[in-house]
Amino acid sequence: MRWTDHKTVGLLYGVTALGFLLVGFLLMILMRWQLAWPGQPLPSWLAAGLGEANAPGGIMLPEFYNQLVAMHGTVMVFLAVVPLAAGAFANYFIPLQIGAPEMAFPRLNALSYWLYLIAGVIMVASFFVEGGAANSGWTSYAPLAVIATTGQNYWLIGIFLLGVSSALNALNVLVTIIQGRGPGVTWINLPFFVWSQLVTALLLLLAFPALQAAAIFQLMDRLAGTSFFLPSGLVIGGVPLQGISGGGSPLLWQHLFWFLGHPEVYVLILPAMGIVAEVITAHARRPLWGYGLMVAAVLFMGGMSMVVWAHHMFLTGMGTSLGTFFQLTTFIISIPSVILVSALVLTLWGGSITFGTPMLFALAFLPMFGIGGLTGLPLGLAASDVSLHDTYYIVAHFHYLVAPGTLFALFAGIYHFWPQITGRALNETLGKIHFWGSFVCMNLIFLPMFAIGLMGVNRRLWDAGASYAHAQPTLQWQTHMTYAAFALALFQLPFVVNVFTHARARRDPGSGIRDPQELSSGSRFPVPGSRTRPDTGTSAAKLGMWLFLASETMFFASLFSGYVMLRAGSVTWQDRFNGFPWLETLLLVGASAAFGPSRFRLIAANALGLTFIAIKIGTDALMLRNGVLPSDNLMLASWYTLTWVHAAHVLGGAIFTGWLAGPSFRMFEAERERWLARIDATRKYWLFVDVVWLAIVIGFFFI
Amino acid sequence: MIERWLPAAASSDAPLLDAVLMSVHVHMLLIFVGWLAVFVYALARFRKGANPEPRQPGVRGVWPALAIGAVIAGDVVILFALALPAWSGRNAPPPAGVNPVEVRVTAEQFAWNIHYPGPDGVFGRTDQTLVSASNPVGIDRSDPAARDDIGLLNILTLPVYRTVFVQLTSRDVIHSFTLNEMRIKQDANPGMTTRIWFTPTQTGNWEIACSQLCGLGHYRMRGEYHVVTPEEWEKWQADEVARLLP
Repeated sequence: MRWTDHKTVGLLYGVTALGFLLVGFLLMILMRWQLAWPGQPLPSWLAAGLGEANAPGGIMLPEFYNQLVAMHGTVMVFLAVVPLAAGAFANYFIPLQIGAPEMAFPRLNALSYWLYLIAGVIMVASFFVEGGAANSGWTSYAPLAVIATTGQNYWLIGIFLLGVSSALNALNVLVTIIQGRGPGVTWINLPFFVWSQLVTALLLLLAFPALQAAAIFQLMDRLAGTSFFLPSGLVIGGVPLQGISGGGSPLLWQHLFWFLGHPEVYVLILPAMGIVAEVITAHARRPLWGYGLMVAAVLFMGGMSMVVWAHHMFLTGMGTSLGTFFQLTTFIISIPSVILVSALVLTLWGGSITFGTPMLFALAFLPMFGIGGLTGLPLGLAASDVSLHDTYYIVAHFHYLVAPGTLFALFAGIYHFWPQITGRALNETLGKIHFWGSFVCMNLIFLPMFAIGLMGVNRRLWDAGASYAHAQPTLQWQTHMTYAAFALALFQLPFVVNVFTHARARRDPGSGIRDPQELSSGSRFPVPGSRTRPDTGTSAAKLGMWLFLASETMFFASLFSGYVMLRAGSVTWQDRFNGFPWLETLLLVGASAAFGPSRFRLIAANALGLTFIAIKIGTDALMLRNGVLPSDNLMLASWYTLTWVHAAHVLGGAIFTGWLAGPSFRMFEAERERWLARIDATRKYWLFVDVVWLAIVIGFFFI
Repeated sequence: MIERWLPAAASSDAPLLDAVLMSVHVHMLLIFVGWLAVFVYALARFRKGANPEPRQPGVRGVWPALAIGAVIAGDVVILFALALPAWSGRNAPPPAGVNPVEVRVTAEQFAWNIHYPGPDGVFGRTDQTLVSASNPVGIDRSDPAARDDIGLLNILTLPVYRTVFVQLTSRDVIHSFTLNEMRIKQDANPGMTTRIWFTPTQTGNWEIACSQLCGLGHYRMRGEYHVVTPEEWEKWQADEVARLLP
């Protein structure tokens, strides 16, 4: 087994994501228990498991319930569903479907998986630190998250690492699809599954950096005492918050968060659409209806998903005109969803449909996604959002999209593709018990939530609303929903049994299932790594660097937009400090000028870059010692944050340049072409680092 | 169908906002039922038993386009004829000279501090350092304008048929000020004062809820609000002011 093999990475992603899915599921069971019998002691074995700190006398504390709220959402979205949909399925099946022997950058691909695992372990392990895990919702709104317990730091670091991981994965997916397509695989016969993964990867690559930037700002607020998200005059528990400058904006967090948060929804949905398209065409024995239309719809959806984010923020005090814009874009983005779901139904027309387990899951996805999608409409209109915002209605809405929606599609994919992975099919009887049980229970859990939400009962309440008179009629329903959740847990057992009894790869003779090796080995051809591909006019190395820089641009643009928004909104913006950093600027520009395809030039660039870092560390140490602190005002907070993030990029460039001059230099003779492609890509990186630096210093010293 | 679940519609904005909510749900229901009919028919008609071999050209003709066109038309009508006008109407300032009631609501973990200007209609000075159990808002009684100010915790009393202006803010984290029966839900952001207004049209006793996760006591950040007749309200105000005088 090679660790970098796309199938290995795909399987690792899949197994790990299923593990996290179980973690998220168990957190849900704990929440459901609490919601059914709020304030009553848990069973003693369960209370013992949670410990006295979280459940004194067996009664779950609100502090612990809030950790469950935050971590169930985080684990399910970031550690279970996305890695399964965009990690496991993408890595395993994209190369097979497009006839590529391997992902474009196998080592980066493996790195992506390990970063994901590390991030996940950090996040889940934070349950055991002082104060427990993050407890401010998966949305981590400031200032609540800024003043929260230590667990929030682990959450932020985890999110940052996940961002790096998904960028590496997305980069790989995009370059593999564009550069790795085998002979005869063109854009107009690319499987719809691959198109859906392509758009997903684009969204991850371009939207996730906004959340990473936000995570850095929040970490600075928590650890360095800055006030990016903290306005002036905060009084926490009757005590004024000391030692901070204030002046920041809590809404800045929401903008940055939802700039990722909304495209993330399509990251959850699009791969599911791709899988369902595969399963339905196979089991109805018909090609997709309206393939071109569907491809256009996902592309349009991907683009539009970047301009709908503030429909999560109608009630923050947004003006009417901005509200109108986001209501319009929200309605526009609903149209491609209607097209996709309609096209999938029309695909059935004229087919010869068999109802095996994968098909049942795929078919059930359609109405479940339909309910989830349609109930997004009243939430997307500010006038009706007022009644529904932050109630159980929205909980029902997004769970219909993701739980009986995307998860059903993923189960369809697991049952459907299992034979391709192991060489034999999963048991049908167990599969059908799993399907029908899950289908009924999911609806029993989520359908009542629409009514509870319409009645005005809010979500994220430790006691399910028992304190409120208007929620009294719904409390009994909560208990029934919890019983349904327990039943749902039981109905997952057939799946677990099925998977474990059919895990060992074997080929059933005469089963008609093709050897999985046969699928890929037939069309093996070398990935054109550094060589230019005639039909795309670029090489994998070049394209990879451009896409990486696009992601980096979004990252720095998000940091900058934070700086610009704070500066524009501040009445007391302190002027820049004296002393334009001429020396640093010269060193940096010198490093990129020196950079070139000879050992001497590489070493020179490396030395100049490291000198830049040394001077940056020296100046900042001096400034900090003289009491010029990031917590003094927002200008210094932005200056330190932006330049430190930039300096980390210079350090990365210097290290890579050192590697090119050192260990990688032997390629100069042996594999000149590949080595030159690396030099070429790294030069672009250095130029990018220069541009960022100039943007920062111009912004701080001249504008 | 939905109105039986909705809270009482007790403000002047409520009927229009509810009309948007209902019509969107009717629109959704029509789309879903129409789509589901096609879906179920297709599954029955083209199951392997009924159609052993797939037919090649599948759906032809214009009806898929017509169906999607109808959905879009419904979207457009709801958006432009109902939802956008309802929202901008609700955000448009009420006509001047309606003799409004002014209230300041300051949220904190986990309570609603409510400050009335009193009979003089002028908010007196407040000071954070004066906050105490008996003075939750921190009203500075040395300010002449503050003499008749009323500061209460978690209880909001309003007269029916008079427009209420609320100046909403927070001391610590983001809360969301929710009066379900008024169809009011507005984030209370620290460092920012948001002005909202509504006109109660029914008397009643209801609950103030917090809709934004605000910490461990979020579930119990509950207040009450009472909409009373104008006479009762005047009497309530007079009683509160009388209590202030030694």
